[in-house]
Amino acid sequence: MIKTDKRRLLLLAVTAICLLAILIPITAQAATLRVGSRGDDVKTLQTKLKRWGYYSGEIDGIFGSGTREAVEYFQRSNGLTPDGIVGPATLQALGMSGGSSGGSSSGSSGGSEGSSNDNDLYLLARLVYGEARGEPYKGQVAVAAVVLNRVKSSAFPNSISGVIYQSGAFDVVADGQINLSPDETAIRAARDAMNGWDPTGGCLFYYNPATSTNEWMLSKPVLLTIGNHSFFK
Amino acid sequence: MEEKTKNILRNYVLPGVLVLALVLVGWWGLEQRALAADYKNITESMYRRAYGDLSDSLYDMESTLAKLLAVNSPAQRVLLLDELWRLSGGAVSSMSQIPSAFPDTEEVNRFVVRLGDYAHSLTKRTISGDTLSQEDLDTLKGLRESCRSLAQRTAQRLEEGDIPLESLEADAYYSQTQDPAGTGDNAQGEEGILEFPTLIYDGPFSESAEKLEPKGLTGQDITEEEARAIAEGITGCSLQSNGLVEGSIPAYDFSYAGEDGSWAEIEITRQGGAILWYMKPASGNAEGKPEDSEARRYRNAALQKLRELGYENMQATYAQYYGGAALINFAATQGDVILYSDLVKVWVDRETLEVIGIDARNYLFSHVERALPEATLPPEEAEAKIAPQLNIESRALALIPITPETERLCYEFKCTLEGDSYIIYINAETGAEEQVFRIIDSEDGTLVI
Repeated sequence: MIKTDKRRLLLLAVTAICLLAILIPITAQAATLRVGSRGDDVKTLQTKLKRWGYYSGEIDGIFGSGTREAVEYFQRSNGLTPDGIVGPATLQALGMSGGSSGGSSSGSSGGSEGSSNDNDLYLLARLVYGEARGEPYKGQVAVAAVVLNRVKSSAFPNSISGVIYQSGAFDVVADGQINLSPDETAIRAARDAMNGWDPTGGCLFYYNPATSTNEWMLSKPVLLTIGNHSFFK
Repeated sequence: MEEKTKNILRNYVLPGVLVLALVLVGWWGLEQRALAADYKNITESMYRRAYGDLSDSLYDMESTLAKLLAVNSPAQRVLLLDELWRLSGGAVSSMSQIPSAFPDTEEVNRFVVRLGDYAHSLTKRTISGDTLSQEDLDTLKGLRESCRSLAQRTAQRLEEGDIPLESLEADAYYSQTQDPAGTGDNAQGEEGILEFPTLIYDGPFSESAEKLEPKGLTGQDITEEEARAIAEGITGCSLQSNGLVEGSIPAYDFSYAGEDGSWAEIEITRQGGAILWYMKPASGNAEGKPEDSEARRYRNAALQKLRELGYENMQATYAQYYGGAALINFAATQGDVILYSDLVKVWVDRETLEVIGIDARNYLFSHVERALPEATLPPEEAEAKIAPQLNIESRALALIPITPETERLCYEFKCTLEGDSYIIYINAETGAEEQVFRIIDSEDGTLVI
């Protein structure tokens, strides 16, 4: 009798804890930065925004209205809700989701020259990072080259953002990985592709033969394989 | 006492916590459901809007084409052709937003893109004084028919009601074989009901431009082993073969990956054994524009490599600096004329001055000995065609690509206006102002747009 009671007690306790455990991460907010925040995290934030050309003020570690505007600009440019508050999604897009305040100073250096196609370059780099990080460098350039080949093709939209955000075109757009902040390699790969390097010989498609279930793709003759991706026209 | 606490805990506190947790989870679930429904509605409305915009654009295109068949003056024709070009741009943008995946939208997208491209080429022809031939008029008539049936098909999509999110995955709307409009005249098509007229014209998206064959390759086909010898001579390392890539220029692909993380990638064309492209990493990370003397050293290193590879008359046109490398564009010259289509890009390592990248695709596509026309217009007269507010800084002769299949001999004027730099091309035979570029001097080089 006492034994079953204990068991019931235990069961009840476990159930209650489980339910609460589901609730806590939903309601609890991760560390956010907003107007009034101060410290090293704000400094890191300002440094990143400045390097990417979103912020022109001083890196003083104080989240003021200038920083808020820069954050909103960044959020708008990266498909996030422009609320001026740096929450988990924005932190992730900034590449600051590790939580530590240091360690993030080695970020990108390629994308902030203020030329007219910076946005395109950065968007392309994000696609490369989402789709092909972990692939050999040539494979990353090849993914960027496929996007650019599509831009030039009559069968696809004729702009980089049109091609990348075309309905159903890239999985990383659907699952949000496109909003991860790209590493230096991805930016460099996007840049090399925009400067003309096309390792694919004009391909318009690629897939991962190990994971793809798309019959139409699998039926096409493969032109070349780089890393995990098979490319075709 | 102990028993009593246990009882209170068991009978009141724990069930209370459980009920509270359940209520919270339930409330949260409802919130989430409402939120998901909102998102679903917003997304579906955007899909509806895309279909709506698309069918509007198509109906407008149809009516513009109809008007085009009715007008006679070049001025009206140009206005209407320009309207077609604008509408096609809008339609292409809507096309990319409708929830249909690639193979289904391929033909429709091609149709809409090429219609705009074709209209634009007719604009250029009309402006230069051409009249439309009977053939052009027949084509326009055919385009009008296609626009009408496509617009109906698209509008019908909206009338059919729901556009579920799932249609993104499995939809084959435009490539279906039945004939929903019941017009019947296209029903004999094998692939689908929508059949589009073939457009023969010269523009960036035309069928002929997309099927252009490389002109610059000469010589016999080589074997993979011969290609490997050439590639190893250039890279200086022992390479792994990745086979023949049958791209727009068939080439043998080789790569090298060192244990220290160094790598090299190279492709050698099957015909003639030329470098199609070659890449290896830079040793440094230098960014930004160098001193002039430094830039000259990069240029000379690149030129020397080009000469070694058999590229004789090359002229540097512009440069960018990023990621430890200088990327310099070289165009071929013939006599004193710059051939802008015949482009070779060379990456030079800023620390070692070694050539670490070559992209000869453009050159191999277009380089042949040109039959250059005579520059019949005297340079002074060409200069007089330049807008008076511009300061002319230099002048040269250049053959520039106007469309994928036509090039024109032009005077190239580098000019400035209120701190901005421009390049203006004046046709060296007719005096027409053919092309305008704006030059942007940025931190990392000169950008021409």
